[in-house]
Amino acid sequence: MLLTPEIITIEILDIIFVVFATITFIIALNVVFFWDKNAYTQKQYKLQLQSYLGATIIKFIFYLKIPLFLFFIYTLDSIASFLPGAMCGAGVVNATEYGTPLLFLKLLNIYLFGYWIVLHKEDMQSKAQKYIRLKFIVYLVAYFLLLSEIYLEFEMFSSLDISEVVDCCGAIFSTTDHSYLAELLSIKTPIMLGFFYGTFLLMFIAFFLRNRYLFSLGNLFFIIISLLSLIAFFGTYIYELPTHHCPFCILQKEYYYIGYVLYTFLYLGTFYGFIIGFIEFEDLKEKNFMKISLTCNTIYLFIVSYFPIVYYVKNGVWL
Amino acid sequence: MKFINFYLFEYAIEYLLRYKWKNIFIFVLLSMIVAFMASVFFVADAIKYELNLGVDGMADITLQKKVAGMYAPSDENFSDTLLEIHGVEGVESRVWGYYYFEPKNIQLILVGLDSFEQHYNDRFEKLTNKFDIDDTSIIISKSLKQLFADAYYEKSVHFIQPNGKLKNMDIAGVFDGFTPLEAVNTVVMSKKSAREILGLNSNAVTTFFLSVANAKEVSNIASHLRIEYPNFSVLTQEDIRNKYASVLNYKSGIFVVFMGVAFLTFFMIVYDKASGLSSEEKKEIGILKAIGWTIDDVIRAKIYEGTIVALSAYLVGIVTALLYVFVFQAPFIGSIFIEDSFIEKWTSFAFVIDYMVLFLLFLLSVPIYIAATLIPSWRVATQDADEVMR
Amino acid sequence: MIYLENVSKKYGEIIALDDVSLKIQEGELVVLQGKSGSGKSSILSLIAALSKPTEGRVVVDGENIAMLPDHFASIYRREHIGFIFQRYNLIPTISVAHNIMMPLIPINLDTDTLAQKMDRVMQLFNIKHKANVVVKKLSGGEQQRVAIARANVNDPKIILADEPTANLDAKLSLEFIEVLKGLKAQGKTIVVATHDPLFFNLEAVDKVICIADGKVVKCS
Repeated sequence: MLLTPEIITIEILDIIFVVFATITFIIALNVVFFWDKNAYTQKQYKLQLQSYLGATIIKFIFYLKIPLFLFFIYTLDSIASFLPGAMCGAGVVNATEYGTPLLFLKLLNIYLFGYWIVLHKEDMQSKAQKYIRLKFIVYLVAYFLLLSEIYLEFEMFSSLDISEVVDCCGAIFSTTDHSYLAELLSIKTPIMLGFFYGTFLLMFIAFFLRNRYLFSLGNLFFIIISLLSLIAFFGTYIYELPTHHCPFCILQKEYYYIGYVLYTFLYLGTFYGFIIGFIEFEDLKEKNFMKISLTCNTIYLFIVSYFPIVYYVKNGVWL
Repeated sequence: MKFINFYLFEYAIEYLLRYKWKNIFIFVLLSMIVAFMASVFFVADAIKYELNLGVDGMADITLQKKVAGMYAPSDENFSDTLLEIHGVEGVESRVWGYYYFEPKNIQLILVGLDSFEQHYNDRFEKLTNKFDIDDTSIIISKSLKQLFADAYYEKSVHFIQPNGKLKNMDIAGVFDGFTPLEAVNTVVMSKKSAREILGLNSNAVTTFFLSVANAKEVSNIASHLRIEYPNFSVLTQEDIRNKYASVLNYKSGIFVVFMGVAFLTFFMIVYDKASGLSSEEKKEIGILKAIGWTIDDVIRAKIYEGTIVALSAYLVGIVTALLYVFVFQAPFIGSIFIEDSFIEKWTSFAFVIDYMVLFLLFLLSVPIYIAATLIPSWRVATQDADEVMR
Repeated sequence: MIYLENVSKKYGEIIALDDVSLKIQEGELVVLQGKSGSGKSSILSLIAALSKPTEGRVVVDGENIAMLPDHFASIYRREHIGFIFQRYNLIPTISVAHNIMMPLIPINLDTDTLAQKMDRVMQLFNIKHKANVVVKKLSGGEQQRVAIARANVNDPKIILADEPTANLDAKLSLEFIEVLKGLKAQGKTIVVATHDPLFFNLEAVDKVICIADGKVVKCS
């Protein structure tokens, strides 16, 4: 096992997560099965108090997960220098079979826990606490996902082998391979861009129609197409290299850490857009969330479109 | 949505000041743990930096013959064979060995080179240009000169040859401009003298330094050499860098595991302490709930308190470590990372700070502290306010 | 607007209240009369949502506050109730101003509004000149004024006072009654739990409810 200080830090915090998440899991089970808001018993009262503990712990986990996720990305990059062949985090992710599902789970959990927090806030607005059961059912699911994530993380770090050569991002994201990813990346540019800008337009239309389901769906498509188009098209303009597709390298110093900016706006925009489909907010709030979502997504769109446009203006040709 | 409630923050600070003695122990403990760990990281990083600087000055590829796993001398003429390899620009050979200097109980590194040879390292180049190295002179660093002087070798030094005879060498000059690690125990002399002292044949050399024209070709050539000459150890700059890094990481890794244990123990201490509220404190919380504070408000106040304590302890720990390492030169911890024979001559730690280390230590102190106070804070916040009135 | 309907409160085997029903109209000054242990303090606790009845309903302004979850009970208390405790329950080691500010801290108001609210009550209850004095250095009467100020800082509709004159001399007791009259003039609903005879024949008092052994009884 690779034993760098960064990995040990992550593992220690993972232990803390597991302990607290499990305590909350037990609370959640109790709430889901025994909550009865009309009961006047000592048991119900105790349950109510426990639900506050559960909420506090979940909030703690979420707020810690975010800087920890950034730290995780940094750790991947730092490990890259130990694995022969890897030049950025992408190589590390690809070095084991756990890397890709781990990354995917981490992203999913950030959305899921964020959704829980919003659900909780809504729940606490009404005296009837209409979401009390729902939010803890959501947590039961989130708990297993969190545990899976931590398990995968542990396995990935344990199985890193510094004597094995791994692919660098050039190989992983190549378009000449016969992999599934390569096929996705080979989609013709006009079609991909069409989907990208088209989905964006769809979200605007949904906003004017005030249709939250359409808006939410639009955001779901937008995450997918944004990531694909970033890897296939926009990334190459950030690197000014038609073969450099890596979504990790834009997080590095050489590119002014632009990756962090892009991913932050993409996350915020799609997060707010997405949850609207799952929670019925009051009109004003819903409108606000839609606005935040659109703003962040627009900023993402502008930044990401800036690079190819500037390139074309400077050089007169596309890559 | 205002994220931080400044009134609550003010209340938290004021509460901590009122109960300061209860928190002092934890504060000091956390500061010490952070200071210790930060010092370890600062020292390790400074050394890594120095080593890497040193590595920069090394040859692209270093070859040394190995017999049954131990380093052995080779023939000087092997240089010609090596020069024929495609991509190799230059070959320098050297006589290199350890010499145990008994009067001061340290290992010296003897470096035997010839003035007329082209040196891969321009510092050695300057050295040979400046001083004339004949068969009876040596060139040493300033600190080594001081060391010899302490042992009463002012102008010349005796070396004991394998046959028991003494070889007297004049101190012809003092060099500078090398990194501390490189220079500290190095004694530069001619190849002939080195061979005599180390008991080697007249054509023997220990190390070949290869310069490679195209940096990208280095690993290719190194692989080729490993296959062609399996009885040689072939090291590239990259290899040496990684070796140093892994040794240092291993050493710091041990500390980090220790640190992990320390922080988890710390967690338990905080949990315990946070659970033991005096009746005065309990009454205060009861009053707050009675006048309209929600459970969340009380928990939030407790989290603010915890953050303030942990964050200030963290900052104090970092500042202490900075002073300890870069001003006081890390007594004790420094020697764990540098071999004892070096520490006397070590001049100073380079001021190198990896910001991620600071972030890492932050992640280990503040969130863990807060985690430890979560359940106790909740217990306190959910106590029955009605009791207050009775 | 305050109704207790068939309320019982038991602490294990001890019966604090037994099938109590009473009604308090908005703007009334009501006295709960009874000796110590009669259950009048329990009634105040219930109205303040500080405790929950074992049986029955506590309805304030149409809402059954007995059913409120803890979080909302606290908010209800913060917004609608000003409680003057028997032993004041101030935090002795901090200043008058900080004590009065306590109910407002979690609400996170902007500085101007906060200052305004604090000023109003400190002026009203004549304690402004001692704003920075630590509470334990104040006299009994001054401490009571701080307690009253704190209870009023968020301008609540209902004021509850538990044995407010127990630790006061006659002069201060009368002063306190004047304060209550002033609050009543502002339209607040006031409930005082006491066995101080000073309250029994007061003109300002709209209703006297006698409590004995946890039950509402006829006043003698």
